[in-house]
Amino acid sequence: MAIHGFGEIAEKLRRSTVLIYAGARGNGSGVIWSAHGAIITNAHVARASQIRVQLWDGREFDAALVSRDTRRDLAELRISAANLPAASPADSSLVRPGELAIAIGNPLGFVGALTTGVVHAVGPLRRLGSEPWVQADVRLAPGNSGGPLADVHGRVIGINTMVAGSLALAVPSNAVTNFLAADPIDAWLGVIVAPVRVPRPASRSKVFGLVLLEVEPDSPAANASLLPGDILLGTGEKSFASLDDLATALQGSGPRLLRLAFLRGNYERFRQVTVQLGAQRISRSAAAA
Amino acid sequence: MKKGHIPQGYLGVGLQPVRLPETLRQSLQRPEKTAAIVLEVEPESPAHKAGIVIGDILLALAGHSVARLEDVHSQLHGEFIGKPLALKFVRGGASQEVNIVVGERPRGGE
Repeated sequence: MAIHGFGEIAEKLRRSTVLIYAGARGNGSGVIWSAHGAIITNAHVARASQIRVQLWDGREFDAALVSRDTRRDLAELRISAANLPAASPADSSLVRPGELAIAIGNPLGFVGALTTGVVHAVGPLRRLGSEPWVQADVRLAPGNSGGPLADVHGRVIGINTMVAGSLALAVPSNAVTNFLAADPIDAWLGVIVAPVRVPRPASRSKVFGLVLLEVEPDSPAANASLLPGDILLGTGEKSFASLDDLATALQGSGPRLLRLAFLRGNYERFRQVTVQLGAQRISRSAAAA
Repeated sequence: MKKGHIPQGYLGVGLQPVRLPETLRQSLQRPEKTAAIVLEVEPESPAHKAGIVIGDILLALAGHSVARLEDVHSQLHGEFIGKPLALKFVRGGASQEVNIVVGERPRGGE
């Protein structure tokens, strides 16, 4: 497969890929996301208390962990450097099966190793929740985690994260964009929950629910009059089947409404409540003003 | 000892300690900061027959405050089997009370 300028594309992508020293757990990879020092990798790579990053030119930096999302397996690191060769992200929603995929990383101690394949699918995988994955037949090995999966133009379409059978799974680049845009307070409901199995009336089956153990004062949940003991069943559109489903429902940024279905002291009476998310900072600043 | 074992009382609930909301604690004039929330109710158990559901927060059993799980167990002596005990709990933010007839813990069960 001859692609015009492939060597240049690969070299540019290699320069945007970093080696992450993650202590005794072994090394991983990362992608320079901004010229000012933001580096994206997997949350499972960025677990050590001290993380060092090596650039393509051999320079090494101590990295600070800015944020980490274990559910989506993403972490943002920051190094004190400027004018870095940042990668160009692609819109991963436009990636189609059959497209060429390029992976770069540091597998098994080989720095900057490149492998190619094709995209097999983009979407969720059974047993891995409802989040989408870019699935490609590139060959990954330990050390590739956190590195870029790119399209034929060298634009990053995903972060290589795991291997499932013969396929490599990458977190889509759009998920990285959402991860970077998310503010923890935007996804704050203000509850502590425990999973329960709720009996269905007039049947022997049970449904999944999340019982509220605690509701923080002045939180979105408290403002919506949710109480300890209430059982969340789902959103207005979708029933919860796991704790992850609540986290997914809370994703987003800025002021927005979320409709929740719940039970209170009666398995037969379904109730609904609308929760205002992402407005806490606005109300606080308005109160201060 | 006719039965050959020590009978123990049982309610048929799965419980977890929980911190009470401060406003609720004050309105109940309750010194204890914790209670026990129901996460599971066994079918046809004494708790089920008394109408207890998941999410109910147990405050007191037989007049004794429930701050820890042990406070429930300590009221389930064999001598209470078959007798009604007053169970005070919170549902939907309001305090309620029911009588619950203590059952005998099935042998081999928990």
